This record gives sequence, structure tokens and C-alpha cells, in this order.
Amino acid sequence: MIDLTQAIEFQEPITASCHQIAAREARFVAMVERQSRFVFRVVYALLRNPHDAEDAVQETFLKIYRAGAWDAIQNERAFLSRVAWRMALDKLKSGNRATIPLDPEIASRSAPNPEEAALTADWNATVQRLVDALPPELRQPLALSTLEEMNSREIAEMIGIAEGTVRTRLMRARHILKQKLSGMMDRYDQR
Amino acid sequence: MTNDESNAMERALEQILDAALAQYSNTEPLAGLEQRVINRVRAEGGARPSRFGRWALALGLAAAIIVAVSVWWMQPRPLIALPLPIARSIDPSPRFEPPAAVRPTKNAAVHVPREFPIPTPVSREERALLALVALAPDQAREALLDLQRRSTEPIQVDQIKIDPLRSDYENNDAN
Repeated sequence: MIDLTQAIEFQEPITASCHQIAAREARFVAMVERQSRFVFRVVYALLRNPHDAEDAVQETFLKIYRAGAWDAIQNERAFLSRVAWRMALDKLKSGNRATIPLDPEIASRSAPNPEEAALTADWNATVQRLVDALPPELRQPLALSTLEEMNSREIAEMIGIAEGTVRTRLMRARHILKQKLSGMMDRYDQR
Repeated sequence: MTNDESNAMERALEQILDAALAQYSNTEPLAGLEQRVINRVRAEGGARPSRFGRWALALGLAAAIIVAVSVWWMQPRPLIALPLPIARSIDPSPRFEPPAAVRPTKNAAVHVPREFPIPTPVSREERALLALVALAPDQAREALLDLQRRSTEPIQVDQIKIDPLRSDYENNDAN
């Protein structure tokens, strides 16, 4: 005859383990729902292509799920942004990316460079092309600074440079952009 | 350009720049991103061996192969039975056939013969003795018994008698 008390004692650890796994899964799903759009914006700032950005988002979450250490992290957003940033950099270096689509408005024009495009186009698209033309060490902090969620300290932690260096680079980037825009506006006015 | 104009220009540039940068990363993913992420994690999220784990696995396999090969190499090879060249029957003209050429192996230095003493070909004297036994067994038996008997008998030697030496004077006187 089966001893029911023993059977129950034997079943309890298995049931508890199943509950733990289910709870952990639920926590992970909640994190994905909470942070995936933020992660998307981070990687999009670097990759500038929605398809590549979505790939990078999926791979980021896949990586941290496999690593298994996501459950114990202190600052979820900082951790995710660092992993996502590295993932986007790897994707950028590998060159295995979809081509960056041009803005249709700009692409339809026969302007060969950003300066000429600026003479007849809206400024937003032109500025975005000017930002894309910046060297990476200036473009990356500037692109991250456009995210509402990120300040200089977080950008510095993510890229792995000093906060002061981030501020200096942001100033230099903005200075270069303003110079170029000023030259374009002058030429536009002369027409 | 006056100071006011310059400041106005600077402000205009700042506004254009801020507006453009605000739009720079203001892109939303396609609807259902969260579900696609979750689906992919569920599909591929099984624990995969880490890079270190894969290296450890490869090294372990390599070590196991090396050990297996070493053990196989060190174990003694089965010895090839040497053909016995001794003629068992009485052959008036037995021929000695050398043992078949045995391929030398790395274990040849530690080769231990199964039969000791190692069989050697019959000498001419032995062959003659065997022929005698075959032809005249009684005589041969007698001869062997006599030989055995004589070998066990104590050797008798006659007593040696030596005359004392004499000088030449004594010899002359005696003469």
C-alpha cells in the first residue's frame, strides 16, 4: 500500500521547482514587455535600420536569457543597454546588416551630398544625414543623447568612457553640426 | 552681422538642431516586438554550452582519444606461434626449416618464448644415435646402460710408485 504522506513529501519539491521555473519565466516576460522598446531605441541609435535593430533586440534578450544572470541584476535598464549596445556594435562590425534605407524624400532628390540636399529639403532629414556622417566617437554619444531616457552618466557607462569625455564629445558634435548647418543656410539664402 | 543677428542665428541653429536630434532616434518598432522576442527566446533559449564549456568538451574528447590510443599501443601483441622445426619422426635426411619470418614488432625486445628451452635443430650425432635406436634397439639399450653404468662406477687408479732419485756418484758406484 502506498504511503500517501511519503508520496506527498516526494511530490512537493518537484511542484515547488515547477513553480519557481514558471515564476522566473513570468519575470523574464515582464522584463521583455517593460524594456524591449527602450532596447530597440538604443540599438537603433547605432544601427539606424529597424530590421537590424529588431534583430539586435531579439539577440540581446536571447543572450541574457541563456546567460541566466538577468534575474540578479541591480540596474535592469543599465544592464540591458550595455548588452544591447555591445550587440549592436558587433552587428555593425560584422557588416552583416541590411542596407540603411535613405529617407524617401531625400533619396528622390538628385542631391549628391548633404549640403546640396539641405538647400532644398527639410532640415530634420538633413541634420540626420549630417549626424550619420559624423565620426563614430562623436556620433555614438550624440545618438544616445537623443534618447530621452539617457543622460551623460548612463551614456558614459554604456560606452565605457568618462562622463566628462561624453560631454566634450557632445559639445564637439553639436559644434560641427551647427557649423555645417550655418554654411548651408548661408548658401540657401544666397539662392 | 550685428550681435543681435548673430544671436538670432545661433538660436535658430540650436532650434533646428534640437528638433532634428529629437527625431533622430524617435522610431518605434513594428507592433508585436515583445511577442516576437518572447517567441524567439522560447524557441532558441535552451541552455547552450558556453564557449568555455565547448572548449572543455573538445579538450576532454581529445584527451580520451589520446589515452585510448596510448593504451592500445602499450598492450602486448599476441605472439605468433613459432613452427617447431624438429623432426618428430626419424628421417634419414631431415631438413632444417628455419622458422617463418616473423615481422618484427616494437615488442620484439621483450619477446618471451612460450617453450623453454628453445627447440634447436638435431645435430649430426643425435641423428646417428636416433638411427641406431631405430635399427638395433637392443644393442642401443645395452650400449646406453653400459655407458650409464660406467659413468656411475668409481674411477680406480693404480697406485703410482716412484723410485727415489739417485746421484750420478751412486749410479757409478752401483755400476
